[in-house]
Amino acid sequence: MELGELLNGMRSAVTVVSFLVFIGIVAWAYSSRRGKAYEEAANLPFQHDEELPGELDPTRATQTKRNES
Amino acid sequence: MQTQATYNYKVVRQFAIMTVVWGIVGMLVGVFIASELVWPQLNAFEWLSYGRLRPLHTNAVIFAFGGCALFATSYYCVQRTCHARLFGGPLIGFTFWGWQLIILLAAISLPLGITTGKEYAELEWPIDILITLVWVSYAIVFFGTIAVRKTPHIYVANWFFGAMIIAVALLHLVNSAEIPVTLTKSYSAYAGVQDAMVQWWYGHNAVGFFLTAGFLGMMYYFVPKQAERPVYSYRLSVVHFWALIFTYMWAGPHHLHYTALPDWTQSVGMIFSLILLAPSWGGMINGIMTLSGAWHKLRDDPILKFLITSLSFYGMSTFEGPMMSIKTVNALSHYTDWTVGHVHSGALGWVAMVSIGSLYYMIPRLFGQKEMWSVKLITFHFWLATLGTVLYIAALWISGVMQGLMWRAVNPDGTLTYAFVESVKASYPFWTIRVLGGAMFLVGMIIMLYNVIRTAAGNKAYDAPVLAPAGAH
Repeated sequence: MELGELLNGMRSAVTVVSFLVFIGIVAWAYSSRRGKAYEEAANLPFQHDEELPGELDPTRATQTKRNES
Repeated sequence: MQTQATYNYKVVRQFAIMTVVWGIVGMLVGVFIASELVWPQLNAFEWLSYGRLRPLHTNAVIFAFGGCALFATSYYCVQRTCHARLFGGPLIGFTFWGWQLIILLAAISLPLGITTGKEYAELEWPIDILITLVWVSYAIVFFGTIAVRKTPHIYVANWFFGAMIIAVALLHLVNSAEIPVTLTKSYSAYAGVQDAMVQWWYGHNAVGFFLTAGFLGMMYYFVPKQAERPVYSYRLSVVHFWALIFTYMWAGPHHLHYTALPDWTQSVGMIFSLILLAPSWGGMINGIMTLSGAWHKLRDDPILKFLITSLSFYGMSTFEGPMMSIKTVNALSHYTDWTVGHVHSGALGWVAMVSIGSLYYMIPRLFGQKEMWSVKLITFHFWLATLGTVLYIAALWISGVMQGLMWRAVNPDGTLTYAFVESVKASYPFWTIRVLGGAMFLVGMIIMLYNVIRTAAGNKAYDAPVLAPAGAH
């Protein structure tokens, strides 16, 4: 019985801690410090991404920003 | 100047082509068993009977078609976004040949009636061990490639693929814990309601991680690539990822409403299923809004049509799912065709369409081409697939709600208004429409195979060079 109560207490605690960790992740993800890192990461699929033969030109700048098409 | 190492496209080509082949096989079995419901005479031999072939259909479309699509796209994406050739040497080839062997063993053992009886985990213990070996190799190849990456960041698509690999390993190991009796027979390590709970913890997370997280990885790479613009919000993609990870694991009990499972567990499952609406729609919005400012591309690009339509179906089925997890709605929908329709709106509309779109992007590039042999045929495939899916799910919505209402109808004296067989009889027209919708989807896949063969036949296999990422030189 004692052990059961302890286990249930821990289960509740894990739920609460998980929720707080998630809130922390959201705050971290939306903090302005992450802006540059995210822009770099978002552009990863486009960086030096020559996919076809003949497209090979190392000087070609492929950095693309949002809101410019 | 640059080292002219190339990406490992061989394994990507192998998995990509087998995705199309297994798609046709799995969907053909699907159309056949749907026909068996309309024309029961088709249940000719025991190994062609509905009960034997239904698990073959689900295994073939989920693990053979979906699995090969995940292997192909994750191997393509992880190499290109990490600027590193696949890690793992012989393990890479082992993941391909091992996975094909598993599919073959499933195709033999399931029609013979060799099964554990656990839905979506029917394969017997020797095949379970082989799955474990292949999956661990997959993890080594995938995470090994991430470890040797040349970029500072790990692109978000790889987070989703990685979560899929880890979660599926965990689910498979826990749910497949079984005591072997003979080579072809084992018993679950769990008993009673615990067994049911473990099974649906597995079952729902197979949907959540195999059929959702992995295909979201596809979405986060191929939608931006085809739209030629970065994902709408990278911040949202990070929150989307963690929200899915924190909530999906607890939604399983909604498969066991009004069973021997404790009421509080059912309620927890229902609440977490409702919460899941938020991350699901966050992800859908992130994918669709990637096209903002470039909506015109949707008009004449059939690949984008596939990708964006898949996200619409994803949004639709992730709205429908939480609604169906509400106990009072579930009381009507459970055990009816509505569930089957819901699953197919996710499976055909989301999983298959996002895979097909991604393959149409990737396959020409694996042969050094910019596009498929025929773009017109892609458009034709798109309309067949979309109309087929709509016919399928609309028919089963109607038959599902009808069945639910007929089963619960009671006369004033408390007796049932309808015998079960009356609901079966009333379902026939809708089952016929379902066969038609499924057949249209299947024909689309056959057209795709033809297009793939024509694309591959005229051109040599091409392996793109590994280039250093920007800023590294």
